[in-house]
This record gives sequence, C-alpha cells and structure tokens, in this order.
Amino acid sequence: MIKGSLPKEIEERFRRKAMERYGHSRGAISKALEAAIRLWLRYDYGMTDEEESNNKAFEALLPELEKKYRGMYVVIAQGKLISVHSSLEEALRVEEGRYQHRIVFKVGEKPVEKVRLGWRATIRPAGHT
Amino acid sequence: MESHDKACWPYLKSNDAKHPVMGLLIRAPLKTLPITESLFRIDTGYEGFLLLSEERYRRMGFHLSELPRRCWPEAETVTGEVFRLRRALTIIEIPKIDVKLEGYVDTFQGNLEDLIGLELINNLKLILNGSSETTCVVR
Repeated sequence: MIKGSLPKEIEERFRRKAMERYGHSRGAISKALEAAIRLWLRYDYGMTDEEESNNKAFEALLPELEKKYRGMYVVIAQGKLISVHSSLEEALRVEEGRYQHRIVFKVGEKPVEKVRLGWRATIRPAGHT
Repeated sequence: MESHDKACWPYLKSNDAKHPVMGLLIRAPLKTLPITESLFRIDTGYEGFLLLSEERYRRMGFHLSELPRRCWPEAETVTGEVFRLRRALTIIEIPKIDVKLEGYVDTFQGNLEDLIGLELINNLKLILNGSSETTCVVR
C-alpha cells in the first residue's frame, strides 16, 4: 500500500480526470493511479554507477571541451575523458569492448528537445482502459 | 536493373499492407555481431534518424556507448504520450551504392519497431515508386 499527499489543485484535477476516464466506480482512482505510475516509470531510465559517473564527468568537463574541442568527437568512460577524435568512425572504434559504458558525443552539437514519433511507433497502453 | 548509382528494394508486405523499405548496415558498438544488411521500414512520421526496437538496441550494444543523458530528447506519440528516448551515435551504410552517413539511433521502453525517419531520408535522393512497389536510392 502506497500513501502520499498531493497539492489540492492536482488532486482535484486527477480525481476529475479519473472519473471521466474510468467512470464513477469505486476502483476508478486506483486504476488512474496505476496508469499514471506506469507512465512515470516509463518516462525515464535507471542509471548504472558507471553511467552516472560518466554523465557527471561529462557535465564537469563540458565547459573545457566546448573551449578546446568544438566539432570533435569525445569519448568519456570510467568517469574521465578517454580520447578526442576528428571522426566519429575513430571515436566509435576506441577501446571497443573494454568499458561497461561510455559516452560518445560531438562537442558543440545542439541537442534536440523533442521528437515526434509518427503513427507506427506506439507504446503499449499505460493501464486499463 | 541495379548499378552502383542506384540501389532498390521491393516493398515489404506486412499486415496486408505494402511498405517502402531500405537496406542498411548499422555500425554497432559490439563488433562481434555479424554485419549484414537489414531491411528497415521508412516512416516519414518519425522525425529522427533511425529508431530501433529496444531489444535490437541492446543486442547491438548501443546502451554501452550512448550520448550524454542531457542529449536524450523527449518523444511524443500521436496520442500525446511523452517520454524519454535513449540515443546513441552511429554510422549507417548503404553498401549497394557505397553511401555512408553519420547519425544516431533512438529507442524507448516498450518499442518494438525499427524505422527509418525523416532525418535519415533527408540526406538521400529517394524514389518511392508505388506502381512498381520499389524504393530506390540514387547517388
């Protein structure tokens, strides 16, 4: 059993939406809660220790990399900068199979914030409908 | 007729519909895998480069060599669901016409589809010939 509290405004919106979706039955709130939690669990991913340490290293190194290696491909593994390359082909080849996880990226490339997936790429429904 | 300036693939039948496909080689972090051309459906509704099923993404080892998390975009389905994609850099090849492109592969939890997206085909001269049911890439 999970217990918690929500701000009043969110609780009211949640209850209203749950009733709209699942009717005024007794289990409506539980069904909506389950669907919401499933969606939240699917939103993001867990992180291994190595992934976490590589991502922390990336954040710490980024200002320096932006200054020195703009346009180059960088490999980060074991929580540190491993190598810098002029081509992606070289960067992908580096120390292959040696690390559990590594980050390979192009310095200065602006990340895309949102991608539309189209009709074919669908996900399983988040809960009972 | 097939030449080095043009590569063609017949449409693929699936669920009573015929889909345009292209054959690609994907450069994966795990080189122990045999590198063979695989067919991927073209989907202009997907805005990215190449979407792989979660299972294929893992099997090819992309989860071992990814972009930093802050570079993983959000994805939105046509039904309005929003979630995080995983993303890794890769190189794809169309060996029939000796084309090589740098791009990335995406996946997300629960994805079963492998799709070629807009960003990949925007790099190519692509002919979708519905009457002969073939997709061709011209150099």
